[in-house]
Amino acid sequence: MRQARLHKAYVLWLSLIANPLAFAGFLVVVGLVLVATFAPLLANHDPILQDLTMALKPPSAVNWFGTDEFGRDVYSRLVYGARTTLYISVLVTVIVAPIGFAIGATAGYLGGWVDVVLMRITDIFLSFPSLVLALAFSAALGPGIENAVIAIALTVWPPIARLARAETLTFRAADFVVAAELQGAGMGRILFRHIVPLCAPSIIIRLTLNMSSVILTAAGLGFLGLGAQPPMPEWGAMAASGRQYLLDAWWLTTVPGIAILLVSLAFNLLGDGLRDIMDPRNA
Amino acid sequence: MSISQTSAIAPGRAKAALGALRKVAASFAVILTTLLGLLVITFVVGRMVPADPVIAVIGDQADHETYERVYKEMGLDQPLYVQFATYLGNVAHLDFGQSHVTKNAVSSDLARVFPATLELATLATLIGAGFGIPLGIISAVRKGTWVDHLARIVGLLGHSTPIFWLGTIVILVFYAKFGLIPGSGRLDVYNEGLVDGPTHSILVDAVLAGEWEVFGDALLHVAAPALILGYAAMAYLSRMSRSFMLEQLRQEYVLTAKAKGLGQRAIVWRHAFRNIRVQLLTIVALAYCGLLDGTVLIETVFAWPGLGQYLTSALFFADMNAVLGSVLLIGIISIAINLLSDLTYRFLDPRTR
Amino acid sequence: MKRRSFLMASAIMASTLAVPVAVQAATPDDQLVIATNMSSMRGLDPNELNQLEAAEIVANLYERLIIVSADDITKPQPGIAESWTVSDDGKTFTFKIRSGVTFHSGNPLTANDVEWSLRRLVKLGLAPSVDLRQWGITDKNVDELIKATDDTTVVLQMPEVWNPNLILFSLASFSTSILDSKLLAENEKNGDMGREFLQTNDAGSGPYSLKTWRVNDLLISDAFKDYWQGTPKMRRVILRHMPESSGQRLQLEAGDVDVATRLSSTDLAAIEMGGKAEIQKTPGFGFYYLALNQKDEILSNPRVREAFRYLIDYDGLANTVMKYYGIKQQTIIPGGLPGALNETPYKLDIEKAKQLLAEAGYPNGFSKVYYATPVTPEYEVAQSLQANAAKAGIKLDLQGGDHIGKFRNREFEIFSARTGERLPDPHAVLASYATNPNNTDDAKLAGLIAWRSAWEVPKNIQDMVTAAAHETDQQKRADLYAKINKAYLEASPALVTSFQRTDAKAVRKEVTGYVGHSTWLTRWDTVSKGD
Repeated sequence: MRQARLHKAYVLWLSLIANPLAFAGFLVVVGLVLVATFAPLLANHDPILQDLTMALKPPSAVNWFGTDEFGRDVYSRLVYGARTTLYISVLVTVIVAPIGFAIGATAGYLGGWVDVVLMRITDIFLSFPSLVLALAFSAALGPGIENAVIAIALTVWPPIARLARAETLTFRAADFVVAAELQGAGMGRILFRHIVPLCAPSIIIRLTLNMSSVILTAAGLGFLGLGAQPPMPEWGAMAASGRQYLLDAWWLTTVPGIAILLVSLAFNLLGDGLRDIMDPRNA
Repeated sequence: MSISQTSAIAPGRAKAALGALRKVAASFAVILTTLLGLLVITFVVGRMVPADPVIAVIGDQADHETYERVYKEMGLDQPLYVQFATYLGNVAHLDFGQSHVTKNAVSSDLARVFPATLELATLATLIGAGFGIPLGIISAVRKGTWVDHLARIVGLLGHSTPIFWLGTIVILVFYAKFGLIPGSGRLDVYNEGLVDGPTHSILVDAVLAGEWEVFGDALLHVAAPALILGYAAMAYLSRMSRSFMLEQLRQEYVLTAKAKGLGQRAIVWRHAFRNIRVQLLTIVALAYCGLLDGTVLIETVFAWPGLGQYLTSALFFADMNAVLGSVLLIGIISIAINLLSDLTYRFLDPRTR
Repeated sequence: MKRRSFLMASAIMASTLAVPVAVQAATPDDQLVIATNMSSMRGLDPNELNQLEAAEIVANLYERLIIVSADDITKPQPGIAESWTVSDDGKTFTFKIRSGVTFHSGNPLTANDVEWSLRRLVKLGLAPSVDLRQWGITDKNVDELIKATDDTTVVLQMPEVWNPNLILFSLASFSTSILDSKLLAENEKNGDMGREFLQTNDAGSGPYSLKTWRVNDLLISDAFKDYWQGTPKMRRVILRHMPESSGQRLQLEAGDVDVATRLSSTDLAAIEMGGKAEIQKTPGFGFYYLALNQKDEILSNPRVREAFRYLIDYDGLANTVMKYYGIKQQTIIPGGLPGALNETPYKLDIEKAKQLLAEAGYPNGFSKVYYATPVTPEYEVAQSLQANAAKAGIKLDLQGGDHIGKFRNREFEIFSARTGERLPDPHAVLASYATNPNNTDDAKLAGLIAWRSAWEVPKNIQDMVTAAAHETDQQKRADLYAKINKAYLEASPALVTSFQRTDAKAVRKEVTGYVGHSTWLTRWDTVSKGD
């Protein structure tokens, strides 16, 4: 079993290398993780150290991407900002995957009125435009990065639940499920022992594809002042506060914007590539 | 909504009509509960907003007596469920209450801001569909060539770009540096107030009034935000139409037609395209819904006086009636569009008829 | 097929992008365009609003008994009241109403309108009603105290003796605007005294009348042809909602707007360099302040309070973020008013702050939650303090957001914001910063920021503030205020002031006569364009 899995992973790896765009995306994502991990080594300034006499200096040999309105080094803030971005993406995933799965799988497994009620709730959440919903929730919970994560998670789970339900329905009547039921296994046991491993790949792909919209939503919230709070560097908030100085300090908005673009593009490329590999008809 | 209930083919016509009626009633009930759910969530969320609506009205420095007076005036001393019930009762009479920020009836505010958003979203959808669908189809036909790769990268870029950032950069480059586009808002100041027409879409009203200068000005103002939103829509639409077209091109009839010596252009446009047009309509509708989302940020960047900006500022000032009204409107629209595309799907798609 | 559609599409795109070059144009010579931020405007009822942008509009739609002009803010001058007398006991004010003034509706303005308007302010009891109610006028006694004795005479009686300037200044505030009582009677709904009508209409006699108002978008006002001082030069004044500083700057430089009112410091600096517009810095009667909750054990230590005064980078901020937004000031009476001091004894000194913290018993600092509003320049000032406090060992958890409700309820640790008073008199500032007659939670004196900070203001300061308000001799009063100012500085107040607020506007050079007003009453009828 383990060997088979290893083999599968190896095949996946080979196909990934064979797809240059997806591989590029993969490299950027790995790069993001590395930058976030080694931020203290990569940064050449203290990201929160202010020096008002150095405010709004253009890019130079000392400050590679210039300084912001407090004289802080934009490059170092960008590097540390990778941590914030990664933190948000990981946390959203960790929250959403189990919740989405639990709701979707329960609905699919039990059927009947449970299914109707759960799917109705899912539909209600789906009928909100997702940014509006995230905006409303993070406005309600108050600004702060944890609250932004919760707000984003609230907009991401419905499609996952839908997916989990659909997948569960296809396995619901499968022999091994029925066999387990006959042996007296409870619902929780069946879902987690049998359904989870089967649903996992498609949910992972879905989450990877969603990751760019998570990052963009987080940046959008930061842009509206609802994300990370100072002095924590966050790319969306950096781009937003730079807008005040747009005409004189173009680097303040441009640099973090490109970072957001790059990372979100990378996740899209990776997710797209993974889907092609799993579902070759679209390639 | 769900696209699953398409299999019922009743034997008798009367029975069919009855079934259809029941179905309509059922979907009506579904819509009502969805809307109610929307309102409940919004109401709860709105009550959690830390901003104090009373202070938003009376200002920071007012004394306690004033606060108490306005607090009561706004009905905030009632228990939450009473407030909600009152609100529902009013909505049933089509009274959406008064916004305490704008001091207008929410319905008249919405009638003013929504056309601005509609105008923007409609243009963006047209741009997105106009470019995206051909692009998707071309890259499907030329799968694996540089055209396909280019289209894919362009599409993914559109999917990955932070809209608010792109808007800001466009303003910086095209307005500030080169002066190619006008600044924020829907019209230049000296064109304000010349048309005040029936639809509140300045483009349409200007045409109706024959004010071509106003029309041109409005078109220039809408161009940049519409192109940016259109780009985002294009990204989605080209990806989807590519995969629809690919699916068609794998079908048997295409191979047969090819074997018969039919030209590729004829196959693609006369046959395959005809088969996917309903699917395309559906995704265009979905893109349209999605744009309501995109307008929230782009309206802030371009100071566009639309629904997105109205809702955002209402949220920040805890303006409950305005928030509820806007959410209700957005909910109704997205449900209506979904329903509409569902219906066209059933009527137009040969496979479901 | 596809090639053609691509060509066509790119042609359409090119045409939409190419035309606008021709569009850039200056505003017409007889129109004034003001870029502003309307997002906190709440209707246009003078007796209801409480906010700078709306006040300027109302100031031009309506008129008041008294005028205080921008160039000499401390001197009450005749407005709708041709003249007035004050009785010997200082309690009775008699106003002679100017005749020949008409409202926009065509109705003549009479003493009855004055009586009705002032009573309405008190009876509605909304935020701006404090302008009259603070002198002891209530909805119970207002019918007795404010009376029109004939068509051209209005008599005001004060329950107590106050310095007459305080009363006259109050009658110059936008809130005491004279409304068209006949018009409002015709448009009354369920006894609302015309409130609903006034949200979107005007009922004034001012130089401009309201034509169009779309919230968060646009306001158009037209010159009132029958204005008693002559038709204003600008045929039309347009206010446009432009929340972005960079947008305002671009349009100002392009000549699309004449006046920009919400600009960031860097944009203001660039405009000043550009030479197309002048920067007006209008001092306002309020401060950027830091409030330390005195219910907190640590923050109520006088040494800790004193330490915070060494953690503000006065000079660094004054040269950057605050360059146009404020004037460095550490005392409590705003510059230009009687009793003002030109002393700035504090500067950024981390070591001194550390020493004070050690003396207070907190050598290793402490952590506190810090609320601030995320708007320029308040948030920049807050972030600067956060960084300096960290150096002294104080960890401030800065939370941006709308926390005023919590501040009013004393549910905070550290809070910062700015104030702005509408009375050009030291009393307006001191009443809020330096009086707190009852420091219990139940007193709910939420209008006073000293109470909100739970600060037991030293008794001698409070007594002096009260005495000064009742003092009718101007010289004695000025001396008293100088004494209060000193005492306040030495008291290590829980309200740390760092900058006196200034409101900066950029006005294009061809515009003359647009003069920023310290109590938000900038006039439009004095504006002209060209040479």
